[in-house]
Amino acid sequence: MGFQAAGTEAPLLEDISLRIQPGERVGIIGPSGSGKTTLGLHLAGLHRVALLGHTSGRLWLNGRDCTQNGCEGFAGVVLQNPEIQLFGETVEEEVSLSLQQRTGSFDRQSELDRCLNLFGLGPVRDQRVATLSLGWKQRLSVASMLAFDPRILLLDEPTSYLDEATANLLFDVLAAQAKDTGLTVLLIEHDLPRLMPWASHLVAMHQGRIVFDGSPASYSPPSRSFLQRADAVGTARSVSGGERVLSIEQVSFGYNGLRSALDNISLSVAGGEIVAVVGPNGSGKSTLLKLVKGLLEPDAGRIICASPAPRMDAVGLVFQNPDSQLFAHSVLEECSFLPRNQNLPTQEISSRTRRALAQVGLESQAERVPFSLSYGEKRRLTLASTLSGRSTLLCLDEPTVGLDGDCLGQMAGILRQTSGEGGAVLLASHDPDFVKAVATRVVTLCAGRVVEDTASQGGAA
Amino acid sequence: MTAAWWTKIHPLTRLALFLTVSLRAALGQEFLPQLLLFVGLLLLLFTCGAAASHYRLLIWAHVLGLPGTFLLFIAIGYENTHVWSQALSWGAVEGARYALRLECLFLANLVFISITSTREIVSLFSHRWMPPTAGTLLSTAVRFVPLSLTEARRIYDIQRCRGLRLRPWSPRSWLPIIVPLFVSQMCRAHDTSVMLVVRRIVPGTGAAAAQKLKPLDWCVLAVSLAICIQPML
Repeated sequence: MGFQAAGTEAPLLEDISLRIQPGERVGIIGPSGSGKTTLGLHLAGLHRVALLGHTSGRLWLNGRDCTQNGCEGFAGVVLQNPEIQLFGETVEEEVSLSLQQRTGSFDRQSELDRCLNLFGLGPVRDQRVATLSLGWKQRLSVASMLAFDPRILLLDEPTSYLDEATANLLFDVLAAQAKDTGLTVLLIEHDLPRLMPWASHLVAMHQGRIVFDGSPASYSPPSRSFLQRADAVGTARSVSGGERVLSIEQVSFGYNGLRSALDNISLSVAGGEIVAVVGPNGSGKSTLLKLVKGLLEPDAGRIICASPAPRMDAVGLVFQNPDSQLFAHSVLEECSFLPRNQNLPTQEISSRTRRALAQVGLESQAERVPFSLSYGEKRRLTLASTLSGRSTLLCLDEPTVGLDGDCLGQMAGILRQTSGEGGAVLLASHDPDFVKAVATRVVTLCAGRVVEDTASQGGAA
Repeated sequence: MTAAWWTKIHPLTRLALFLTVSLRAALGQEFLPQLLLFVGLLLLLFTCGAAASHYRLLIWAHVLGLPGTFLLFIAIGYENTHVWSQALSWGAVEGARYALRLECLFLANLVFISITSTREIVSLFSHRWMPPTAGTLLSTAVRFVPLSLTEARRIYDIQRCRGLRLRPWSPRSWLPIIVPLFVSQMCRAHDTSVMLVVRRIVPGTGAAAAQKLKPLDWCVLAVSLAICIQPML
């Protein structure tokens, strides 16, 4: 099978031959842009609905030739962003909505309870969906899909917004469903250590082709390439001892003055440090970064930046989704947006921009249109567009989401280089491997409080 | 827990009311009725338990939209008269009239969204008189305003982190928000429509479609129809 998107020259999928049996747990892996999602949408029979282009070859689903017709209603889908997948008013209504579409005889109430309890949603069944955190919304979207009782369930990086415990719970539930109900699970995931022991069938992709198709046991993953690459940058990590660049003193914050998102937080970050903030969903990691940046103001306590510049300039904050910020007609212009807004001299803007692009390996792409870059390149561009400013503290919110091994390596290298040059980094992450590889200090948040603040024990150094 | 008052009204009646109010707001020329409509809608928004984010959107829309509207009308006034004093007085009056109209449309949308879930909206469009695709499109469209404003706020925060300073008189300064917003809304609309297909949330199904119209609903529908027809007569 092959697939060519409308208006493009190069095929997104090429020479795909694959056979999947009912009840299999299929892990689909590969670098960003390798065609994982395109393949997944084909396997779920949604290519006619979700993709614009031409599918060649033959695609058989459930004994039917679905190459040109698609096969809607056959598979459930869970996308990365839970916000767009939920349509009900309350948690219970959301799951009930799926049950309404289900055919066959079953006890509606007991099935509703079962689906809610699969992910611990019972206690929040009457809560409005809009008030849930992203992690809870993702739990709900998976529960809704399972309530729908699909033959195939496609999950596209479903753990991006989940903490480790919830991600493990999701994998356990999916394995149990596959075993008990014969559900075929297709899971697109970057987290190999979690995926490998779970999957019964592994498909590795590269540039639109399947490069491995078989048992995970016979697959040899590339050795922790991102750790190696981080070392290859060759800049030593400096473990604290630098000048203090940020002090957070007894800060408390609550959204709308109600629920306390952060409670009496005290923290300091010194030059050369890479401080990772970890913790479960809703523990206040992103809120902390927004407070540090100055997007939110604390209800109590204070945040002090050593830099004489205003906090908006002294702190750089990189968000997850690059498409939420790219707008310029060239990579160079995009990258120079921040220093231009900081009213730096033209010469300095140019040198800072060029340097930042070189730092992230995009200097040769300076004239390209940002939208034509791959996802990994876009992420690096957003990082460069923050590095080009005069910030003394770099904050990153979930820098590893959606990045494959190579991109992670580049990201780790850039952070280490920044740290090696005396800059301070504060990052919020769910990725324990990445944190272990780059962080010099790990701060654990739980329910808005600091429960642990330790020097990183691991790392590649 | 007591059921909210709007749950006693059929979603179709709510939609009819929303369309009627929107039509009146769009066609209305007189200042006082528009002002009364605006105040009424504002009170409704407060009583229907709208999410806090909706209030923030409201304030946000005011901060962004109103100065731009007035400036636009003043510019049109100057274009026609080439006298600043006349342009200012004409622009202020016409700008206020136009802004009030937009306010009413915006408020009506927020009230409708606050009291009607997506599922109810989708359920309304029965396949007997509307193709499923059109039903899905309509149901997505009525939710477009609040969702876009939430997204615009998020993008504005991101660009603020990159030093963005909005200047109402400079369209160029708005590009860092408009371009990502357009891209993001296109992606969101695409993903939402895929999920609607996957979840089989198609027009003409669900509890709202099964719900019967009560005498009160018929009365409200008749009044709405009369209000809509009246300007044409």
